[in-house]
Amino acid sequence: MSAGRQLARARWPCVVALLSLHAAIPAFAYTPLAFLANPGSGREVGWLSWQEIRDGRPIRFAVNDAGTSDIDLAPDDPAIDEFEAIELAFRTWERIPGVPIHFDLHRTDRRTFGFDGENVIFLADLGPVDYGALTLVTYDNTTGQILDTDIHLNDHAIRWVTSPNAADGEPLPCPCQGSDPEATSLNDVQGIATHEIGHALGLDHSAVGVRETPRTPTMYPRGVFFVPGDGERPPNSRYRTLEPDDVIGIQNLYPPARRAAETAAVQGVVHNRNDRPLFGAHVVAHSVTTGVEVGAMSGVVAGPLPPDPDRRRSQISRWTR
Amino acid sequence: MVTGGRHTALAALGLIVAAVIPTAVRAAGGPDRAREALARHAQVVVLGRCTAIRSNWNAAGTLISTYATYDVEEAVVGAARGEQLMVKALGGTVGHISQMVVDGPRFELGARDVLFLVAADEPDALRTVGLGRGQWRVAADPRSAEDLVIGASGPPRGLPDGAPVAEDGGPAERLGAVLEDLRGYRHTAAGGR
Repeated sequence: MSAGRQLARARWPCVVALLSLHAAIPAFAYTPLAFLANPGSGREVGWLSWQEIRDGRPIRFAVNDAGTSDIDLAPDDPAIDEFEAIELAFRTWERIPGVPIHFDLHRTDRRTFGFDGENVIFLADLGPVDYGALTLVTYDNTTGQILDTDIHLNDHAIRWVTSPNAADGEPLPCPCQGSDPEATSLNDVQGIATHEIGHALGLDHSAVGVRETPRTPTMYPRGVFFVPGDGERPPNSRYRTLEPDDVIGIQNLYPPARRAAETAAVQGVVHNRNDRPLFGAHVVAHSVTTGVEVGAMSGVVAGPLPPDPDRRRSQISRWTR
Repeated sequence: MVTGGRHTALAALGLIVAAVIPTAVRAAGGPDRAREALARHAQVVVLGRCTAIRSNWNAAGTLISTYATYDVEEAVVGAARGEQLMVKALGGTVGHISQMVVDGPRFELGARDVLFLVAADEPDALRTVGLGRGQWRVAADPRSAEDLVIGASGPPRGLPDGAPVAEDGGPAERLGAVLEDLRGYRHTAAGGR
C-alpha cells in the first residue's frame, strides 16, 4: 500500500465528515484507549488491550454484592435488578462477532479501586465526586497490556434504575425499578455499565453521535438526564445495545481472524489546509443507504510505527463492517 | 483494490475534513448550561500553565496519584494571578506501571488550561470538577496565532434529531470570550445571592 492510500473493497457510498482535534492533544483520541509507550518521548503511541482476549482466555471480573439501595426487589420479583442488569452489560460485549471476549463473573464484598489483582464493578456512595461513573485502568506502559480495571457507579445523589429489554436487547419502556428521594439525577444501570465496560476493554470515547438518536454509539460520552414516565425508556438506556462504531472499535483492537474476508476497509491520510498530516482528526463514515456510522482517529494505527514521524501521526485506523 | 493519489482517494471517499481548530458557534444560541454549572460549582476558576508534574503510589501500593503545579495567568474566581496551585488527580505513571481514569484530566508540562477546581482530599490540593470536564486545553490557532479553548463547547448534548447543529461542530472558542463568559456567570451568581 502506498502510505495508507488505499480503498479496499469499499462497499459503502461514504460521506465522511469532520473533525477537529488539535495535533498536540493525543490524549483526547476517542477510540481506542491510547498510551505513550515511552513516557519520556511523548510520541510513541500504542493501544491498551487485554492479553486474555488475545489468548482466548476469560477475564475474571467481580461484581460487588452490596448493589444499590435504590433498587429493592423481592427475591421472587421477575423484574431486573442491578446485578442482572450488570451481568447483561458484560454479556453484551461477549456477543461481538469474531472476538473471544469472555467474562468470568463472580461476587465480591470489595468496593474499592486500585491495582489489587481484582477487577471490580461496584455501586457506592463515595460522596460528591462529580461524576456518574468512573473506570480506572492499570496497565503496563511498555506493552499496553491491561493489568487491572475497576468501575465505580456513583450512588451519591443519583437514582439508578433498571427496566426490561426486548428480545433484540433494546430497552423497553418504564415502569422502571429504582427510587431515591434524595437523587438529583437518574441513570440506567445496564446502559452505563455497558459504556464503562467498553472502557475496561480498551475503548475510549467515540465522537460519532453529535445528535442523540437510537443509533448513537454506546461509547459516545454525552448522556441525557430526565425522569422517565410510564411509556418512556430510561435515559441512557440506549447504551445497552452496541452500535457498529462500538463493534468495530473492539474488532480493531482485537482483530477477528476472518475479518479481512468479511469486511471492507478504508485507509488514508488526513491533511490540514496547509497539507500537513493531522493526528487526532476523527473521521466518520456514514452509509447513505443504511444510516450506519463508524469512526476512527487519524494517527492511531496498529503494528510497528512508520519511521517517518509525519506518517505515523497521520495514518487513519481501518474501520470495517 | 483501488489505489490512487491522495486527492483522488479523498475525493472518491467523499472526505470532508474540517480545519484544525474551527471557530466555535454555540449551537443552541442560548446560554451554555453545562458551562454555567461548571463555573458556578467550582471554588476556583483560572487560566493556568502547567509547570511541574509528579506522580506517586499511595501507601498501599494500589493507586497512583498525580500532582500538577499550575502558575495562574488569569483568575476568574478563588485565586490570584501569579499564584501557584496544586491540582491532584487519580492516575499517572510510576515506572512501567500507569493508571488512567478514562474521563480524567490529562496534565502536560507547559500546557495552558482553563481549570474548574474544588478542594481535593488532602490539604493545599485541588481537583478538577467532574474529572476531565473541569479541564479545557488552550492552544494557539496555527493560522491566526490566537489563543483558543478546546473542548469548552463540545458537541451538543442530547439534541433530538432535526435540531440545528453548528456546521463546524464548534469544539474551540476564543480564550478571551470564554473567560468573559465565565466571569459573567460568577458575577451573576454573586449578584443572585
